[in-house]
Amino acid sequence: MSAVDARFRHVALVHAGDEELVEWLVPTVDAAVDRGEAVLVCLGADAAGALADRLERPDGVTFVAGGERYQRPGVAMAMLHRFLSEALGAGAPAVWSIGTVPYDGTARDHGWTRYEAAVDEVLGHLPLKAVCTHDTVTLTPAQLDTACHCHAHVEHAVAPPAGGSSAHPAGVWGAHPAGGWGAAPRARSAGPTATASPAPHGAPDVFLEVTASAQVRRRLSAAYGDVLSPDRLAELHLVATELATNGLRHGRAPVTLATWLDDDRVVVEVADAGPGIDDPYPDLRPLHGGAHGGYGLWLVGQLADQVEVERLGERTSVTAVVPAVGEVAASGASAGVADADGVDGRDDPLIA
Amino acid sequence: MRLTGALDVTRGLGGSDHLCWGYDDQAAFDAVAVEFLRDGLAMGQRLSFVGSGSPEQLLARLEQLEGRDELLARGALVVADVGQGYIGTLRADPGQQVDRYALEVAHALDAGYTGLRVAADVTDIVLDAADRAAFVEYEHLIEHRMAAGMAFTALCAYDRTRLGPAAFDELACVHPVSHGASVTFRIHGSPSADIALSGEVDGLQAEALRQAFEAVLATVQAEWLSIDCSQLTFIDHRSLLEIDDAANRAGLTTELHAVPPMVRQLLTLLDCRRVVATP
Repeated sequence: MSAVDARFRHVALVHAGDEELVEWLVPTVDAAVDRGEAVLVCLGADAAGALADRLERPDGVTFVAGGERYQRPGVAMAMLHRFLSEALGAGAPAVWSIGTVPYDGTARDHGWTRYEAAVDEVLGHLPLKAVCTHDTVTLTPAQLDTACHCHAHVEHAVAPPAGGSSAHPAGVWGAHPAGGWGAAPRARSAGPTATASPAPHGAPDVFLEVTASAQVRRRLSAAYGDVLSPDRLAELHLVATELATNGLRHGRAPVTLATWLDDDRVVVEVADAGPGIDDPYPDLRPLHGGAHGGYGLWLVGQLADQVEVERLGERTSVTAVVPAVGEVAASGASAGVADADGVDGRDDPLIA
Repeated sequence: MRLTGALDVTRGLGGSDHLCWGYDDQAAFDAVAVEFLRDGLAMGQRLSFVGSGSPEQLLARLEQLEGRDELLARGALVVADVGQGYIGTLRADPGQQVDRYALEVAHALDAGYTGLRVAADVTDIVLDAADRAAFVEYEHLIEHRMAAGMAFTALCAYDRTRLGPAAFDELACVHPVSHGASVTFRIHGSPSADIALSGEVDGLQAEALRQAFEAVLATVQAEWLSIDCSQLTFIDHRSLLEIDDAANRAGLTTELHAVPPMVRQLLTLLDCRRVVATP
């Protein structure tokens, strides 16, 4: 059994197709299992199947469908927290998380780059080896660039040809990943927290100063009751209530809420005049049982595809994007957005 | 089906409806109390008016009730000082007052009435926190009987200016119908479960919910408490955690009936051990 390296590592693995990926993973995972480390693999079905076939001890690895793990950043992180806590609690010297984060070129990608940054920030003190796999066959160069830029290390499954065009330094893990992690981390770009809120620019469908959460739910029902299914509306009620309650409890008046229905999502933004939230990733921290604080934004992260915490001038805003895929009927509910006429429309209490 | 929710009138109540009324002006309350009693007269119920003071003072508050003196003379209307009834016995045994009302209802039915209708201004006996706690327990006990179909229609009134809004809310949230409360949830009797939780509850009311729940749990001996949530329109994570905590402290498990899928999802996410849910 080889020595365990208990240092945190977070690596973007670039590969072309499943074969290259599996070829790279097999010795890595076999060695990890051999050292008694816990391994969580969340890949597409084909890659996971091919990997399981090649491993010496596939039963030593926990396979979870990529689609289940990467539903949304909050869910992916909560699953990782649970796996880490159980594995370390059971005595594993280190934990591997190998998965394919679903970059798709949409606005959701920003949620994933923020997730990657949170992995470093939230889990950086743990003996975690996070390997995020990126397939050059399915990702565009721009998506690949986005994905790699939020990792301190980039590893290529097959070293690019000499003088090749790769912008990423290869070989940070050495010839064999279990052999060494030596190279200096690359500097990250500006980082996900620097980017803008997912809130659309148009006038919101609903805008109000919040004094009680019941009024929030009434207004959302009035605006979206005909457009969203009851289950989606219930989800939206919960997300908006948690954000509003959080603002009322911890922020400073006036607490405002604005929402936009935008194609296949509802964007909810709650802002207050308080000093802000110290933690840029309140939705991605591990959930601690017992105490009654800190659950609200974590819960929002379990339901929302994207969460952003921002400082806007003197105000702090938390924005959540609730999916509404396939739910948006051809109704006037999004007219408020289309009607935007340059002013922010916030004088209009209810445009929808 | 009994009424649940917020109400701005005292008219239209019947059967086992149980309304909590917060007032700032006693004369205005007396006027709506008369409206409440008038409905009972039309339904063939015996009427009772309870408040602080002598019979003369109490009758004076019912001046607007047509035929008041004749009703009093033939026993269709009784008035009672709140001090004669509830006070004194409540702290020792809140159940005694429930038995007393059950007996009065039985007498009313025996005398040919369709039931008993009571309007009670009980402000004076709930000003003290310990008395209020006993009264809350009494409300839970009587609610249990009323939800089972007791021929008893009740209007409990409180002077908010003397009680203060928080103390009033403590009382309002243990009635199925209320007026003037800032709490939006209610814990009351249910025909299909041990209690019902109805309305909306969020984290800003968590303190009130915890207090109300502890009061209910103090009256429960069993290891399971079933909660009818068919009239519950919203609950947030903090409120579920409060219920989980209260159940844990009381050493029992709560079973939420008729909750929407969202609540079941929440319970799974929060890993609540003392709260289970059924559709």
